Amino acid sequence: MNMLISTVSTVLMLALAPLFIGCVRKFKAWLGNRRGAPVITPYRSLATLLRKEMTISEHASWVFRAAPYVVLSVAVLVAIFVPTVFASGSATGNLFLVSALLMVGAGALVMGGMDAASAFGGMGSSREMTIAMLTEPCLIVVIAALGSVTGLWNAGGVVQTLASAPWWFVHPFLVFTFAAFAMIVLAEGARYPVDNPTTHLELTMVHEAMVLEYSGPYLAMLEYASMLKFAVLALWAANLVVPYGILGAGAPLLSGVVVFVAKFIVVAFLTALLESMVAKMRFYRLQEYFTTAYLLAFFGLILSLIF
Amino acid sequence: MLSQNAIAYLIIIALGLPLVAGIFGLFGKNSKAFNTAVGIMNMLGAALGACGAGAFLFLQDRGLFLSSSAPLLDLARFFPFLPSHALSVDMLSAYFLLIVNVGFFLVSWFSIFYLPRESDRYRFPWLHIATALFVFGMQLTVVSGTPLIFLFAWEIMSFAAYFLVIADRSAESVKAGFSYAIMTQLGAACLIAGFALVSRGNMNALFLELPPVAGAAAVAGLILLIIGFAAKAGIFPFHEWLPAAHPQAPSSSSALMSGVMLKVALYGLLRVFETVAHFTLPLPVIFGFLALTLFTAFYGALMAAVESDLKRALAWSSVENMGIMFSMAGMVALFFALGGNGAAGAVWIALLVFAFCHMLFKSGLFMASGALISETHTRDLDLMGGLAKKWPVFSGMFLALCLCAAALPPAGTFYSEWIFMTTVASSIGAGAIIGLILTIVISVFALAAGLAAFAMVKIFAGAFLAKPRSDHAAHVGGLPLALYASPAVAGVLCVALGIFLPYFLRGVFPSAEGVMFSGSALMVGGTSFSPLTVVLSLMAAVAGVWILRSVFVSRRPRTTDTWDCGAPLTSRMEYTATAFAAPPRFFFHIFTLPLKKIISQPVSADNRWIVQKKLEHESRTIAEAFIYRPVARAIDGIAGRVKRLQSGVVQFYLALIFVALVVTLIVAL
Amino acid sequence: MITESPSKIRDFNLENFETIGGNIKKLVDELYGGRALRIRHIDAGSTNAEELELTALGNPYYDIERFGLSFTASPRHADILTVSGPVTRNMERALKTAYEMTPSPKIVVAVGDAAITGGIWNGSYAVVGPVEAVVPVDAKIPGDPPSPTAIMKGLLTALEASKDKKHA
Repeated sequence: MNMLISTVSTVLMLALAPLFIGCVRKFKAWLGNRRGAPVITPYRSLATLLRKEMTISEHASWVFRAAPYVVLSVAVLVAIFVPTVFASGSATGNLFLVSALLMVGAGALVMGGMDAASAFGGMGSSREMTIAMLTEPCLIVVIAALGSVTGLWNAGGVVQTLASAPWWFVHPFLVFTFAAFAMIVLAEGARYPVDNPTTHLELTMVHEAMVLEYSGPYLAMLEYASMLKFAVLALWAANLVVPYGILGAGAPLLSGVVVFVAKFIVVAFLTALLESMVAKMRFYRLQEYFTTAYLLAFFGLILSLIF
Repeated sequence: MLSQNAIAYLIIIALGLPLVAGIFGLFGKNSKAFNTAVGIMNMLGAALGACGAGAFLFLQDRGLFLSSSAPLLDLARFFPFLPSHALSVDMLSAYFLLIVNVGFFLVSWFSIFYLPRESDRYRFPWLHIATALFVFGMQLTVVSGTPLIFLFAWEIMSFAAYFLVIADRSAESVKAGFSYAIMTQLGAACLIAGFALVSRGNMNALFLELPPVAGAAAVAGLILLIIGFAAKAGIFPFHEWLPAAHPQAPSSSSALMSGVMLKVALYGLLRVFETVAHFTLPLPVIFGFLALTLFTAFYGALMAAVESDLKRALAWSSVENMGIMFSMAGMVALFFALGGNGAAGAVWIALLVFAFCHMLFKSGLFMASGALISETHTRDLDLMGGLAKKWPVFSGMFLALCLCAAALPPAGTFYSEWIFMTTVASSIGAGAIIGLILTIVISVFALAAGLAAFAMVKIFAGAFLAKPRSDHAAHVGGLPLALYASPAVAGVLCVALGIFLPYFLRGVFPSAEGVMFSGSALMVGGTSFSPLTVVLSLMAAVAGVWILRSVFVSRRPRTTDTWDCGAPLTSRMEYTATAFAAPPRFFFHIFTLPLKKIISQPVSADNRWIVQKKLEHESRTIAEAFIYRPVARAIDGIAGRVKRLQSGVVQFYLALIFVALVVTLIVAL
Repeated sequence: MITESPSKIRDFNLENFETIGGNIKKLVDELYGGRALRIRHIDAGSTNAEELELTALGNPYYDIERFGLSFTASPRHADILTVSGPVTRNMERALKTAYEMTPSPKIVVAVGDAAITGGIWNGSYAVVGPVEAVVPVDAKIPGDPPSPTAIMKGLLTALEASKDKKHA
């Protein structure tokens, strides 16, 4: 039964990730007084890319060709290990493993970006690897805080344990941990204020710069992996903050579906709101961003020891 | 299966055979045939030693830690001039003997094919005898049962390594060797003093019979011992010699030094912790030790990330790994001091697994970079590139080794770090102050791990990807499989160790069943997952994606040039390793101390805006700038003042003798 | 919301716009009817008047994104290449390599009179000629410069010419 639930959860997440990004773009357009593209445009865009031919640089080696497979596989594994739609317990992955897998995916993409011998790719790779490296201590301290509070180290178990008591009364310090995790999710998902996913200026790109040399199906794989990663992490963060009414955790089907749709829409709207309010940070000021995230996580963990 | 005697014979042969091979190699000049014969003898000796040590480990059940009832294998009974148990093998010795012998096997296999390519730079007899003594010293250190034999073997190892460092007789190597010699003798002095203090002067006493640490003298001795091992392992602030000396040795010897000798330093530390201190070190010592080793881990990783010389970057990475291993040892001591014996056992296992993996991937990386450098004729990452296209298999193997070094799944290093982090994180709730310390420990650990991954990606990207950045790299020849078969095996072993780690642990620590592993899953403190499942799901995901892609996409890709925005691209325009590392160099500039000077000189008398600009960029190291130079200046100053004693006036000398006589009489009577 | 609804734009008069090449129908069909396409603009030596109009396409008033069309930075990601300006000698190579690198199926649109005919610079020593002298062109949008509405109508005509019964 558990296997079935986690399979359904994974398949649903795989199917809904482009819709999530479509909603984010739609909300951002509305906030900018525009109409924006229909929410199913990412699906059409990916389908169009699959139909296109691939043009590959003559200087690229097998690393360039292997990178999209690794990146997409890692994203799919993260979607399997971090349950978002259903709160399944057994087949869920260890959080340290998830953070290491995210690093593997980042490393693979970085090497793909360097391989095409373009200056933009190298710049994006260097920046992305720095961001991945700076995210690591913040994420580990967040995981340590969650594990210390709930006693569990897998993604689904943490959410289920948090649901047992309202965390804002019992563990109010978790607000720091969740704020730090939100900052980490923005960094991993390549959103504002760490990276701009819609820029055309290569000097402002981080994730986009690494995929400049990819085309056709490889580009579809990389774009889909990025959408999937952000959707999974953002919805899991929503599950942490509001761990109630998740399907499979004893909630009836209708209320579970309603709660999931509500979280979906609210998280997409909050992302769009953030992107409309702040500007992307200058890359060489990112140490301030990550220091803030780290200190928030640190306080969250230390306060958990006192209270 | 194997009797105790058989195991003893195997180990003794393994001790002696490399010496025989080295002496044999003395007569060969630079002959390839002699080199091959020596290599085969070395491989045989190492294989026998590995079999013996492995049989001892796997066929007999030992507890997690040394206890007074743990069986010892006495080797000294074959040598009548040695007291009983002066050479003995126990679980710790056997584990590190296995590490040394497997490492030596891989390296001697590699040097059969590697040294003939470098026959114009090195004199083989020199290398063979130095390597033989080096390995003999290492193995003897590991099986020694008394401090005296330990120190004797330690000195043999250190001296032999000096000759390996200066093997190519260039000015840089001699300078590096000098720095290495000073640091290693400083460490040896600390070790001698330390052993003298803790054994109360009786250095012939067995390790097992040393009195427990009590009293200020013994604690001082313990601290001196820790400093001695830290100096050998490259812990801050005794680390400067490591990135200077390891790259200068021939790559096969660098692999031995970095992959194996550093483990022997770790062995020494663990032996001292186990037998001298019985894991009850005073808390201030533990905290100081942890602070230094964690800083070493961070600093080594940072310098590896910003270094653009391939072998130096790997040496800095060794500094970082030794920092990690020593801090794991410190955590074992800390957990024992706090009463968490289960957590201590888990971290001990993580430490031993990390040591084995480190030997495999570090020697693999040094060997592979030796092969690489012999073709590109440069050690500078900024001048390499484009090699993944020319050598797809070699680059795949190097990538696997970099993955192991970066501690990412599915390599064994990741699982060792996972055990460590889960154990530390689970224990955070034990108290406020302890939780604070453990949080800092785990944060620095994670930062060092992130920087290590950065360094490894940078090394691989700079060396293999994009277009070749120099003519040498553009015109490399082929790389024969025989040359890189050995590092390939090292990489495969490291990954296999990760995948089958529960089975390996079951063999070595059968009593930890149900605590650390169960079935094919690793367990720590209630949480578990199976490395086999992880790697299978990774492979399944890749296979699934590949199948889907083959089904939905059928067009062949078209090859074009790189998008160059309209202007032709040269290899000067792509990112180099130095450029790749610019963000960490900037973010951590307090530690990397980059110094950028732009000197601009006007060239025209009429127009002062036409200038000639020169950019000078250098990196200093904080140890050299803030510790070594001030200490050197102070010693120079003191020595200058003491020089005045040599005034040449006879009356002064007579007065000195008279004063010394009077003082001695007063003290003695 | 200051943008009009998409249906209003589609209800238009198509006399002034040209499309050439019968294969454009095949291209658009292959691209799922052109509902989510990326445009990469190449300035082959224009006066930037066309670029200003193209930039205006992204603002809330014109909002080209509501048709699923977006701008992209790399030719490898592009489905549509819009080219403006007469192709100067310095930009000839750039245009050719960008065309080569764009994966097929691709649609090349010449935007502005200068791109279609070479404008007032036709025959100059610095200019190679109109865009079709360098790369094959699938659609042309005349105007100096064409207004954003004209550009949108032109693009949509190119994409929907296969469906529109008035222009068989």
